[in-house]
Amino acid sequence: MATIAQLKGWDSEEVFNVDGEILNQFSSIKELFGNADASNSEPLSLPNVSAATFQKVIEWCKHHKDDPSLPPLKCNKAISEQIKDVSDWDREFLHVDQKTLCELILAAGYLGIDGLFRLTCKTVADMISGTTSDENNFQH
Amino acid sequence: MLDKVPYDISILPDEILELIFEKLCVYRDYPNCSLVCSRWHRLFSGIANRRSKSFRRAIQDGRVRWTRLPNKNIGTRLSFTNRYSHNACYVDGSIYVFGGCTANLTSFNDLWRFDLSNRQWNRVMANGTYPSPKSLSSMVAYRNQLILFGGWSQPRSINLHQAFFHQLHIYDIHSSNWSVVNTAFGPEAKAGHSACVLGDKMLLFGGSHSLWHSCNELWLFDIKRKSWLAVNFSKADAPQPRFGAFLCALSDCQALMMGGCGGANQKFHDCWVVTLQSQGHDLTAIWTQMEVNHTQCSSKLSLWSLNACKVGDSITVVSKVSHPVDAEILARISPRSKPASIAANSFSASSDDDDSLSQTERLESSDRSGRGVRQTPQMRRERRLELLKKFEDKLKERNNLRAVANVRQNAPLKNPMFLHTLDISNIDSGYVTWTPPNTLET
Repeated sequence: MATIAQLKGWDSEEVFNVDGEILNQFSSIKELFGNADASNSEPLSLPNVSAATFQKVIEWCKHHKDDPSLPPLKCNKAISEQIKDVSDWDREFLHVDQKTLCELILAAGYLGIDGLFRLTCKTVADMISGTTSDENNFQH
Repeated sequence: MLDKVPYDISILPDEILELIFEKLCVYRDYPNCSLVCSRWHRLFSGIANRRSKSFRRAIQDGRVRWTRLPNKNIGTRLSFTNRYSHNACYVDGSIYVFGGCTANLTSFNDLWRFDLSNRQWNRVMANGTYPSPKSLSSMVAYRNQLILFGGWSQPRSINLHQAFFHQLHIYDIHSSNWSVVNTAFGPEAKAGHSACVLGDKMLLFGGSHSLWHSCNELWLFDIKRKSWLAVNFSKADAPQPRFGAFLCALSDCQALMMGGCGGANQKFHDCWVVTLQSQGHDLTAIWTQMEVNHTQCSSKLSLWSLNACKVGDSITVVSKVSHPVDAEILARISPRSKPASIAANSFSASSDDDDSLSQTERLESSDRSGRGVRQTPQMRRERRLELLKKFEDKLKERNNLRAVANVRQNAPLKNPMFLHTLDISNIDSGYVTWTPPNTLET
């Protein structure tokens, strides 16, 4: 599919060409582009997403572009009911350091990628779950 | 885990952290995580507040959804026998279940723990002096202790009095140890009484200490000093003797009592508040009867041996709506089987088919040995084959029955449980109000 949006992270000049299938998953910014031909205009800088993180996000979106849309989030349900199981690909994908994981959460939240957002939140919750307060006591 | 600790989690904004925290296990992770730092503590208390509020609102509106937990342990060592009239207590993320009896009145003295964080049953292997197998006792939780008093079991001999217990046992959860408390002075043996914890004391009300005889005594057990105190009150202005009443603490010196049964065809629907007053060494209680509003919502409810608990400003009762037949049965039962009927409304009872099978087995083996005729090996073989065939048929029949039972489980229940709530927020003004029942969805 043709490129319909040009985006870049806040920290580098590297321009990512995003096609329609992926842009559709960015529910919060897809409206910005509409049907306009964006290939000639200036690349749009994403204020909250670094280039490295954006690269990861695009990688995730490419892999998950055929996923069915998710049912609305129910806060009262346990996460295990919301995400049945994490696929091997996702587990491998999220095998990253804490900093990247947190940036992924922020990016997914900012771009409105529901699936990635839930997945990353669950990963962090799993990390916290089952630890004692001392183990979690990372604050100064 | 320390090296994996998410240092950068602190860059996440509050609302995302909250979303993450909501996915954690309430019973195991919340207490730990709220100790991490002031920000986490603030977030967790916010979530806990919101959850308990929405739970209370849901209970009041009857918007409750029940899910049946899959029991992975059925048929293994870790599954416990069907029972009723047992005791259950919530302590620190777990539910403890003690004793009870089966439909053919075999009593138990085992202790089970249901861990709410991983939804699993575990049998607690305790040390110390175990209580006798019994049902209809009272068990309350005080800090990390379970206090078990009284109870009843099917008498083994003609001596009926031994069926009632007066012992008080304390189970310490940290050391998993049962100990028996011997006191010089205390209530006589009883069963079907109700108990609750008021501050550092346990209040005991009613119960029956012999068949067909119940009382309205009030006793107070000082948990720290390990001693009993009889509570005096004016007999004129007190509830009638009863067993199977519901008792719950309202404050450190106030408790609410509701329902109960005084004997055949004497089911109570009244509601009382008891206030304890100590003057020097004397302890007196003042009973105040509450005016019960909207009784039409509860008139069909049998308010004895009920499953109820206090949720916020209301009492939640899970009960079947009783049929007129109930009263008939109650009137017809023999005195001997009365304690069983006390418990009939408690948790579900079902007959033990394993037991019945072993019984038939025993019958058949006695039948075989009873034959005086000397058997040739050929005859014996034939006989054995015949027996095997019989067993196969029986097994098939049993499986069929099971299949029918399974179908029945999926069909809508004939007599579903209802969730009733009693609004007790106006207790100071002297009245309580029932709200209409809601069918439980399973």
